[in-house]
Order: sequence, then C-alpha cells, then structure tokens
Amino acid sequence: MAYTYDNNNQVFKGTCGAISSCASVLGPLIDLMLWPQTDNAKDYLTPSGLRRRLTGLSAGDEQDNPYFNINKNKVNAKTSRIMVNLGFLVTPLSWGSLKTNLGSDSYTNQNLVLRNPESAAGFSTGGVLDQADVVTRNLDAQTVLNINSQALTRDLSVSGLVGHYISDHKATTDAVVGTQFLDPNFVSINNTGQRFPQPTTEQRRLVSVFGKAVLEYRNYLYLTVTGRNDWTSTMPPGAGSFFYPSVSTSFVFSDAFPAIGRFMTGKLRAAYAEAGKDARPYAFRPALQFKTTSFGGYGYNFWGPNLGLKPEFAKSWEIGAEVSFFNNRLGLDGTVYRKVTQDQIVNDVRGSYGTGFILFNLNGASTRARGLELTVRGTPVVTPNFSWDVEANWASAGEIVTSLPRNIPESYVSDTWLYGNVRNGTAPGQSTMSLTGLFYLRVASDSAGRRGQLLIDPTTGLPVRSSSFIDAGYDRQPDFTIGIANTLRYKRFTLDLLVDIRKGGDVFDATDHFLTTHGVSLQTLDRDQPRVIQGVLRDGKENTAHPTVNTIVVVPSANPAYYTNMSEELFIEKDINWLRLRDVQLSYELPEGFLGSRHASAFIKGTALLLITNYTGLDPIVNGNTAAVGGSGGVGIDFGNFPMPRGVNFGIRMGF
Amino acid sequence: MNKRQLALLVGVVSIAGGCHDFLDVNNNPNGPQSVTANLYLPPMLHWLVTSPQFDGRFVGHYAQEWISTSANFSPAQSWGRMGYDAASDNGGQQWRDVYWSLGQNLVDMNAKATAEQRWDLLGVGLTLKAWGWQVLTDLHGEIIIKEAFDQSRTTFDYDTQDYAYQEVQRLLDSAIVLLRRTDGAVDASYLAKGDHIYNGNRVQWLRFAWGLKALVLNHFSNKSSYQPDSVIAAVDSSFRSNGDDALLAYPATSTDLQDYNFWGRTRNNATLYRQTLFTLNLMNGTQFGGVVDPRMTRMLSPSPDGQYRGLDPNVLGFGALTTAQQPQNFFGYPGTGGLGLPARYIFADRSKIPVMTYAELQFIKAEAALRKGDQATARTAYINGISASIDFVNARNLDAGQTPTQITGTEKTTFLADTNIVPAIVTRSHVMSQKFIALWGWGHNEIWMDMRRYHYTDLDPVSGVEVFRGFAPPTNLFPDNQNKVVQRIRPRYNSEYVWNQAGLAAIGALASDYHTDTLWITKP
Repeated sequence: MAYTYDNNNQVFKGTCGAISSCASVLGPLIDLMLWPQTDNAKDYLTPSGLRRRLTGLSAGDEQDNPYFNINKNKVNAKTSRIMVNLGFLVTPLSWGSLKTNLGSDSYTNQNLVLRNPESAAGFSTGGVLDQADVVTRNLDAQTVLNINSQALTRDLSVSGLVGHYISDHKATTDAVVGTQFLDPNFVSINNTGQRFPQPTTEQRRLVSVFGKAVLEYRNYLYLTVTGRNDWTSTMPPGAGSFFYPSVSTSFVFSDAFPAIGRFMTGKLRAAYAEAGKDARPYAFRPALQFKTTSFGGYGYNFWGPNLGLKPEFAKSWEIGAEVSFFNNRLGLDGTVYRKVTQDQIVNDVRGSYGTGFILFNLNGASTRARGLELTVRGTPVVTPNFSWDVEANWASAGEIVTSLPRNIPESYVSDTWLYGNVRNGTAPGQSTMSLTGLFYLRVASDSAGRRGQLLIDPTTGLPVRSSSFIDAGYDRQPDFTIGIANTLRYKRFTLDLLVDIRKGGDVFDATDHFLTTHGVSLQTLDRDQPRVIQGVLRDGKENTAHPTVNTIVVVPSANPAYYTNMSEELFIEKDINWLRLRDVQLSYELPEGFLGSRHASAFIKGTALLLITNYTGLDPIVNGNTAAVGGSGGVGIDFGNFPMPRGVNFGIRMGF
Repeated sequence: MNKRQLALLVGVVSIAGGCHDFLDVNNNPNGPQSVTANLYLPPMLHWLVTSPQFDGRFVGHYAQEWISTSANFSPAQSWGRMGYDAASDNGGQQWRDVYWSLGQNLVDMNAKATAEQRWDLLGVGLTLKAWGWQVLTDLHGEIIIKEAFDQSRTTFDYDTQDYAYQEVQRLLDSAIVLLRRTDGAVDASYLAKGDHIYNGNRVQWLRFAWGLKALVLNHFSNKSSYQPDSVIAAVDSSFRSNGDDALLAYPATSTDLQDYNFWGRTRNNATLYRQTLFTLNLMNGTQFGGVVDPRMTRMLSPSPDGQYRGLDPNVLGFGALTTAQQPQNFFGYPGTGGLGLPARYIFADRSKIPVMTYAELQFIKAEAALRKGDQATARTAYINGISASIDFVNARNLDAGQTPTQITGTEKTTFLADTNIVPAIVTRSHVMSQKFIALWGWGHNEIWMDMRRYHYTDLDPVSGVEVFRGFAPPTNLFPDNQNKVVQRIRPRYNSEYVWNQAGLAAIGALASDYHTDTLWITKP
C-alpha cells in the first residue's frame, strides 16, 4: 500500500501559430527576451498594484512582462494517489501454486490554469480560470496458476502457468472554466461571472486469459511459449476478441560446452512476439456534443463513424547475446531488434470535410522499427585501495512509416504544431520523427546542376515558400546515443561520472526564428546590408537548362518580409550532437559510528555542469510539450523552453 | 452429468454471459448519439448567420468594405490584394459549416422530421440545405454535392456550379411546398424550441425561402435564361417589412465567446479593420452629388478629429494620416480600444446580425425591374430599400446600447427627397451602390456576387456611371493572380488541398491562379 502526494507548479510554455498575433500565449522566457533591455522588467506593477504597461496597445496585444507572467498566471497540478495491492498465495498441491493479486490504483488529479484578468492571455475575457479535477479509479485482478517444473525425462523438464486478468479503469473529470473575474486577484470559481462546466467520463474494461509453458533442457537450453487472448470493451461488436502469441529461446553455451565455460560465460537469445492493442474508448461511433453557440442545442463532435475498426497488431523479433570474461570483469551485451506494426489505429485522422466530419479513428498505418543496442561493462582496475568500474551503452534506433490509412498523404500529431508552420508530420517512407512544414520551394530538375537551389519570387527577390506542408528530409531521430557511467573508488572516496553523448538528429530552434522575425536576434543586425539571395527565379524557366539566376537586391530594413516571412526551415539545425556531463558526484564515506549511525557518507553532486554541442540555441534536449502528447511528441522542438537546470548539491546520507 | 459438473457448467456459462455485459461499457456517456429533431436546429441557425461573417473578414477585403491596418501581414497583403493565404483555412469557414456544422446533423434532422411528419421543421431543413449549397457555390464555384456525407469515401468528385444552382432551386421548391402545409405534426411551439430566428413562425420561414429563391434567380442576370418576372414574383412572396428580417441575437454568456457577435470587440476580429475610401465615398457625398448619407455617422467610424475618412487599400496601414486623422475602429475608439465599452452599429458584442433583410430583397426587386424595363416598379422598390435600410440601421443601433444617435424622420425624408439619391429615372448604378451600403458589414456573400456579376467595374448602360461608384481593384494584385481580379475562393485548405487533391486536380483547382477563374453563373 502506498500513498503519494505531488504538488507541481509550472510556468506557461507558450505556443505560437500565426507569428503576427501571438502576444497573448507566450511563456515568460520569450517575454523576457522580447522585453526592452532599457527597462527594468522586475518592476512589473504600478504603485497601485496594477500591471505596469509600456505601450498604448490593448492589454491583450501587449506581451506580458515576464515577472508579471510568472507571478500572476499559474499552472498547477496536484495529485493525491493511493495504491493498494493485495496478494493471496495458496499452495494446495505439490506441483503448483495459485496466486491472486487484487490491485486498486486510485488518484485524484487537480489541475488549475489561471490567466490573470490583466494579463495578455486573460484580458479579453476578464480572466480565465480553468479547473479540472480528475478522479481515477483503476481496479485490476489477476489470478495465476503456476505449475512447478516437472521432469519429463532426465534432461528435459517443463513448467508453466495459466492465468486470468480482469480490469476496470474509469476516470471522471469535473472540469469547469470561469471568466469575467470580479476581484482580479482572488482565485476561485466563485469569483467568476461566467462559468461553463464540462464533466466527462471515460471507462475501459478488459478481460484476458493467458498461458505460458517453459521447456528446459539440461539447464542451458530454454524454450518459452506464451499465448494470450484479450476481450476489450472499446472495439465494435465482433472485433473485441483477439489473440496473440510469443515464443522465445535462450541458450547458455558456456554451460553447454564446459571447455568454453572455463574462460568465459555466454548466452544467446532469440524471441518473436506479437502484441495486440485495442482502441481508446468511444472511438468508432460519433456522438453529439452540446454546442456553446447562440441558444445551445446539439451537433456532432469532430469524429465520424468507423464501425469497421479492428485491433492493431505488432510483431517483433529480437536476437541478442551476452558474454563475459575474466571473472565478469569485462562484459558485453548486444541486442538487435525489429518491430512491425500493422493495422495501427491512427486517432484523429483528417479527411475531406465532404465526409460530414473532420476527424476519424482509422486502422491502416504500418510502421517498421529497428534498433541495435550494445553494452560494454568492465572493471579495469581493482586494488584494495582503488577501483574503477565503467559501463558504456550504445544505442541506435529508428522507425519509419510504411503506409497510412486510406492513402492519406500526411499524418501529423496536431499537438506538435506548436510554433509557426512546422509540425511532426510523416508519410510513407519517412521517419516517425520527421518534420514537415511550409518549407522553401526548390529546383526539382538536375539540369545545370542546380537541383535543390531556392526558387526566388521574381517580384520581391525573396524565396518562395510551399503553400502546403512538405517534407524536406528533416528527422529528429539521432543516429545513436551513448551513455557512459564511471565509478572510481579511492579509499573512502567515490567519484561517479555520468556522461551522455548523442550523434545526429535535428532540432528546431523556434525561439531563434521568433526572435529573428521580431528583429531582436543578433542576425538581424545587418539589416541595412544589401544582399542577393542565392537561387533562381520562379519565372517558368526554373526547371529548364537555362534558369534565370536571381540578381534582385534585397535590403531587409526596407523589406521586413525578408525576416518576417523567413521559413522556419532555416532554423531547423541539422545533425545536432552533444556531449553532456549529466551528473558528477563525489562522496566520502564517514567513519563508522558517525553520530551513532550504522553507515554515513557526505557527498557533493553537480548536475548538467558541462554541455558541448553544435546547437546554437539554449539546450537541444528539449520537448516543446509533454510526453503525454503521444508519438514522438515535441522532442526537438525548442520554443521558449528553459534548458536543463545546472545544479550543485551537498549532503550527508546516514543509515541507522 | 452429476450435480457438481452441472453447477460448474452453469457457472461457466453465466460468467461468459456476464462477460458480455461486463464489457458493454462503450456507449459514450458524454454525449447522446441522437436527440429530438428540434435540438439540432440552434447550432445550424447560429452558423447560417455567423459563418458568412467569419469569411466576411476576407470577402470584405475583396469587396473593399474594409481593410486591415495590420499592414505587412494577412489579410491586408493577401486578401486586400485579391489574393489568399497559403496553407490556411482562412476563407473556408462556410465550407466547414456546410459540410460539418450542418452536414450529418442536417441529414439526421431532416430524416427525423420526415418520419415524424414535421413539415415545418423539414421545410426549414431543406431551406438550410439550399442555403448551404448556394453560399458555397457562390464562394467556390464547383463544390461536392452528390458524393457529400459519404463516410466511406476518401476522395470526392466536384459537381458543376450549374448542377449546384439546379439543386438549390429544387430544394427551395420542396421547402416552399412543405412550409405551406399545416397538416401532420406541424407545430410552432415545437419548432420554436430550436428556432430563435423566427420563434417557430412557419409563415416567416416560407417568406425566407421565397427570398432566397429571389436571390438565387437574380444571380442569373448575365445569362439569356434570366427571368426578371420570376425574380420580382419571388420577392413579392417574400419579406413584407423589416419585421421579417432574419436576425440572430447573440446572448454573449458563454465562456468560450462562441455566442458573442463575431464582430464585437470581445471576439477581437475586426479591431484592426477600418472602412475603405470606396465605402466612405458612397456615403459622404462624393459619389452622390454631395449629399451626405445620414447612415454614415451611424454605421462608419469617425477619426478623433470628428471627420470621417476611409483608407486606400493601395496604401499601407494609415499611410500619412496623423493620429487625430486616423479613422477609429468600428467600435468608435482609437487603436484597439473599446473592450467592454459601448460600441457602434452591428459591432457590439450583443448586436443582432441578419442573414437576409427586407431592404436587400427590395434592391433585388429594383434591379430585376430595371432589367425588365419597368422603371416605376424599380423606383418604388429602390425607395423601399433605402427607407428600410435606414430603419434597419436605427434598429441595430438600439440592440445593445450603442453610442450613435437615431436617424430622425426629418433626416430620412430629406435624404429620400433629394434627387441625387432618388432621381426621376433610377439606374443600376443607384440600385447597386445603395444595395452595397445596405449590406455593408454583414451581407458579404451577396455584395461580392453582385460585384462579380458586374465584373467589379462595369458601367451603367444608361448613365455611363460605374455601377459600383468609385470602385477600383487594388493596383498591386497578389502575385499568384497574374494580374487578374479574384473570382472565387479556393476550397478549404485543410479539407481539400491536404486530403482531396484528386478531386481538386479534376477541376483545375491546383493551379496557383485558380482563384481568378470566372464562375459559371457570372458568364453569359
């Protein structure tokens, strides 16, 4: 049984669709960068306690003072969670045991978003208070009959289990939004003049039976077979039952061949697994929604019907080996895997509005993932006074889309469309972490060796941007990552070093694009400098053997579209590498009996002390939104994100 | 089988049966799958009136009702130059609402109304259906009709505008038959529960259907099949007075601002817009022999110095105007001011917005009569139109505590008695320019259709005066236009350009100058 309580305050991160009109939704970091350097931003209130303003713009059009934003706006989440697990074990017979686990995971999540009535974001509605209390209760029960290992012959034995699982997950959300605050600073729904409550309930139930059999030959060859059938509440009638098996084997060859086992230990493994997955609740049948337009009434929500929805299946293969030498002082572990997902359920797929709806939940996406992981661990030095342990992990992964439902040209995660016209869009053949956007149009033919050169508008001399979302080869997936953990011990001192290396993968520096379009980036300093953008004119001859080379001179200070209409493409930084000293800790073991403790140590720990990177923004390890977004989310989209905090801690640990 | 085995079997079977019930929890508890027929109506009527206003931001730039002072950005630099916004749904609101807000809701409502013999509700439903195809085809030309609302399709073929116009007339004829019926389950109080435009009054809906039919038939003016008598007859069966104006109120009580007037300061859509010089000149005497229209000071917005000015769309922002000379916003305040303060005309948070008015229909009748050669009918309808428009402006300025004063009876009589406004011989130049004033600010679809029917700058065949007095397309047309004026809006980007490229290719809509292709209806 466990109880946790979590109280989390955040600042606004900010999204910005149309660059020209995003003053109201910026985070404090962007606010700070835009705030005039000649003004003391800390002084954010007038003597009468109101928001101190700099311009004659409407309060909704002037960006917030960063201090005002942090102090008066609020994003808070409180979670109170109690988990109870109850296990029964009966061993009625010599050959097996029966085990039942009953689990209850119940939590309330209280979310609050406050936009102060004086702030840019809250001004037009006289403040906004958004509250959502989510009451979740998840009940699970699992019963497993374990069958102990039974010898079939002298060398061969079998063991296994059969089980049953049932779950009931339910979340009830009481959400309410209030506007038109009476007192500007009193935070309560009771203080709002207009209120709109919107309760929702979501429930999912699942019943499963499963079984597993393990065959063992002479303690060095193992074969495991499993099977599982699920019945879910979330699929259309007839599609709610689905079965998926797995088979895996491992071979401890150092035990099989004692001649090898004398100087090393080694094991090979291989596995094949399938996994089925259901849809989210209420995914296949449209429902009406109360409308807040004049005089209420009902109308369909965004989602159209799909009574043919079926479960999605993933198939994965994995082969691996692990070996160790010199009494385990040097170990190697390698795994290669491949995973194919078919009939993947893609939620919120768009289509022509001719369907009568805007979004559909469809089967049909296929993806293929591959990966390779290698781990080396060693103990190069062991003496009574000094030892050195090191473990390095190298990983490379990637996933591409092989098909999309209904041959739609692009699928994108709308929550990643958080700045300008760049989003995590993908199409068959592309990485699931690719970016699409309104990128520049380029020469398509190879003639005159100009493929890839920018097309230039013959009237303005500026590059022409695509009017639809296109792929231009950007991929946020790194080539590989390496993590190295070192532990050095000298007498009573221990030094731990955790180093993180990444090679490749693109990062979109939206912050820089924002600052450039607003004229506060250093690269706009040469705005009076005449220049000619290299490229060819889009005059109909661009793909012929004799394209017209651009000679139109542009002076950005006279033609601000040079900056304001710059494609975000120029701010996607390719192949970002980093070497990061994630953690360093030096600890000293205090003498035994220190202050009556059984053992005690003092430590000093530094986090994020060193970062070497070719990224020009603040910190490439960013996520523009939260991990809850799904897919690859906002990883590598940097808009107003704070870098990883650098910290130094001192402390003493004692055990009694 | 002994008793113990039997008990076990019963147990297993009941668990299996129970399992089915246990898993039956997937009926969405957050919204019904079907409701009574009249509950579908309020959102559809909201969009009937409000959707054209969303697109009116941009159509109003084409027709030079207004221009945005956000000089370097859309809409001034795109729509203001008769272009469009790339990769944007701007100008696609009516597309969204006809296919989605009406869409399957209207199909379901009409099916229920048919089954329940609610002929009045079904008549309203068919009128809405006709209105949807009508506004869409007038904006976009070719649209999806025959294959619409088929959820198994991934691409949709477009139908011709000729077909769209036939379908609209067929639907209106059916609606007119149904709205005359009083049998079956016709029930004003049932209809009133969802109808906050006419509160269930079947007769007013019948007049509305006739009015829409008059408007549709009048669009054929460039074709040899044009029948002015049919137009006049339809107008005569339609609105009797301003009391029939199809108006929607905005309660302004929702936290998401969805039930606020789209043009109100709170919604913040028109805050940067200012009246154009073209609009001002129609009302300040420039185009009508020096006679200042009494509506000018009640519809348009003065500058801080008290003078009325309009902006030239060929000049960026306010140009050389000093602060005191820059026209104030439509709420009557400089800059972006006016939040929570009394506004003007139809620009208050709670001002009513019409979808069709008596004045509009009278101008349609006047145009048809002129084309027929019936000066007497035309002149009477023209005077009715101006008179009704003045009454409309007065009524709107009382909707929500606005600041402008009422136009007095004397002002109105003096204005109508002036031969610069109402001469002995009324021409199309009088009718169409006065119709523009009456529709300014809300009747964007019809204003733009009128301008395209008259090729923006046609001259009056009698007087040689420009039909839309003083109108000139922007000198610096949008680059994609290739020096042609705009004729249509491209279909909604995030519906068609992303997901229905095959359908677009078949009608040539992938061309970058597709928006300059002339509509079938405006061709001879």
